[in-house]
Amino acid sequence: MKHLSRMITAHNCFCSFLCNLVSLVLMPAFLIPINVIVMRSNCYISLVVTMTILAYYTIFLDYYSFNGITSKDFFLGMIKNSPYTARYLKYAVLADQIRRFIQIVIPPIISVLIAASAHIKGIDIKFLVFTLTMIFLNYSGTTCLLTIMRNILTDITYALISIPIASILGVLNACMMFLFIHSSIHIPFIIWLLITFILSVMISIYVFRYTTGRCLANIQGDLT
Amino acid sequence: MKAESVISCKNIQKKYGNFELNIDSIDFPKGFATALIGENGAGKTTLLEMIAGIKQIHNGDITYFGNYTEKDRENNPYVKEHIGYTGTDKHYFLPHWTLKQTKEIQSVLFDNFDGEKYDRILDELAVTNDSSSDKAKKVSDLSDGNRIKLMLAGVLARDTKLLLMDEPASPLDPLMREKLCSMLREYIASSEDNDKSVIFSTHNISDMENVTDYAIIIENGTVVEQGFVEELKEKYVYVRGEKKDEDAAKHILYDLTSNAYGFEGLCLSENIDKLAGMDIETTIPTLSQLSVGIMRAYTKLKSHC
Repeated sequence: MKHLSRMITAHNCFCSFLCNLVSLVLMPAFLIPINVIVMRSNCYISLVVTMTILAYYTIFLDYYSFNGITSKDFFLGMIKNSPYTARYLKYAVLADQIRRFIQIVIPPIISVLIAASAHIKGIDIKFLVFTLTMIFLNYSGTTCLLTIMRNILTDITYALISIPIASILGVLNACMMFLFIHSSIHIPFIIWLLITFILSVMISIYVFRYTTGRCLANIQGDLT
Repeated sequence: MKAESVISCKNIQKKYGNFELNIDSIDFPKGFATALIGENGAGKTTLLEMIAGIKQIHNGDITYFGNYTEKDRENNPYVKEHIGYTGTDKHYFLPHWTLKQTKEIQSVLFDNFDGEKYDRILDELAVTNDSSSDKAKKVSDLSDGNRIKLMLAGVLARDTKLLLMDEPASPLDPLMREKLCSMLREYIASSEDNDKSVIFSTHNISDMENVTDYAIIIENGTVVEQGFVEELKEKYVYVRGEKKDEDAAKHILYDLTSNAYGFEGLCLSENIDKLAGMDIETTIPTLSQLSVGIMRAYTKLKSHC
């Protein structure tokens, strides 16, 4: 509990209450009904659209929370004076990854549960695997892209780069749907779940190490 | 007077473009308040940031509390736990933090942080009152003075042995400056075995004089004078004289300014006999007169009088 409380404090040091509220409450409240409604026409397209909107939002939100944390000029203020700077940054980065995962998991999972209970056509094992695959794909994709974006502190540059970067994820989402539903592809769909899951784990570990390492390197070097 | 050192700096060198900090030796005395005085860009902030560990790359050695090295500072939590640093960085507290968050964050960052004491000091300094709306106030909504008070409350709410303060008095009103001095005095006096020390940089020499025990004057990156204030006041004499003696005095005085009626300036006590026969008035210099006189002798400013 002590570690969890410290993780939340460290995370909220970079991510404001408003950002948390929008990410974990308002965004799902907006996306879930839309997703469920569109699912009545086509489950797969609905999920691709939902996850792409979520990817755009995740990248956009990061500008207001952790953006610039790995750049040389990021303000860490008082955190630099602590004897536990490294531990604190690890808490913050780890909590951010968990929060992002939850943020990406909530809308599709709740939508699928609602759709399944409403007996919407097309909700089968294959679609459930597709949903999980999309979650891991979008989590690993956004985590990876944000790691690059977090070296940018300038708002105009960030705005210019974030749109095409998020669009890459939109394209990947559409490609994944194609791999799942196109009749000419004979690769077992479960393989994509395994690949994206392994990718998520590997990217999480790498990004955690990279981000904390880079922050500490910036602190130990000359910041000004 | 000889005192144990809380911080010792030896052969410190750091270069930035055209500026070079070059310090042979400074021993900040333990149990006293030391003022770092110097012009803008003299190197005071750089030195304080090096001691605090914010700027880590430099030549030379810094020793903490008599036996800890800079490596220890990074690896042994004891050193940083016992140093309270307040800087001029506007983002010392990130702007979106609420006052409540500043308390929560400091309690995670420092083991010896006392949240209740922090609240008490903030109330005492009139940054907050008991209302919950005050605790929800954002750091970005605070004035510069209140931000300094917030930093001050943060370091005073910890069990530290050394306060490093970069320009703490600058954004404060005169009343609060006086309060700051009394808080620093109380901080030093609160230690039973005389092991609490304060090092601060200041341009408000007069306001901070009554809290300054030891003064270090830095000009162009080097220490040009240092010592206990009482000793410096014995070392120098402040001289006022008439216009007719100005030319003769110019060669004897350490620093001289003149106006239509006469001259005034600092003179080394050992040279005061050389002014015999001149119509002069001598007084013990204030810390401000001492500092300005010494700084003027070394300044790179082109036009001064």
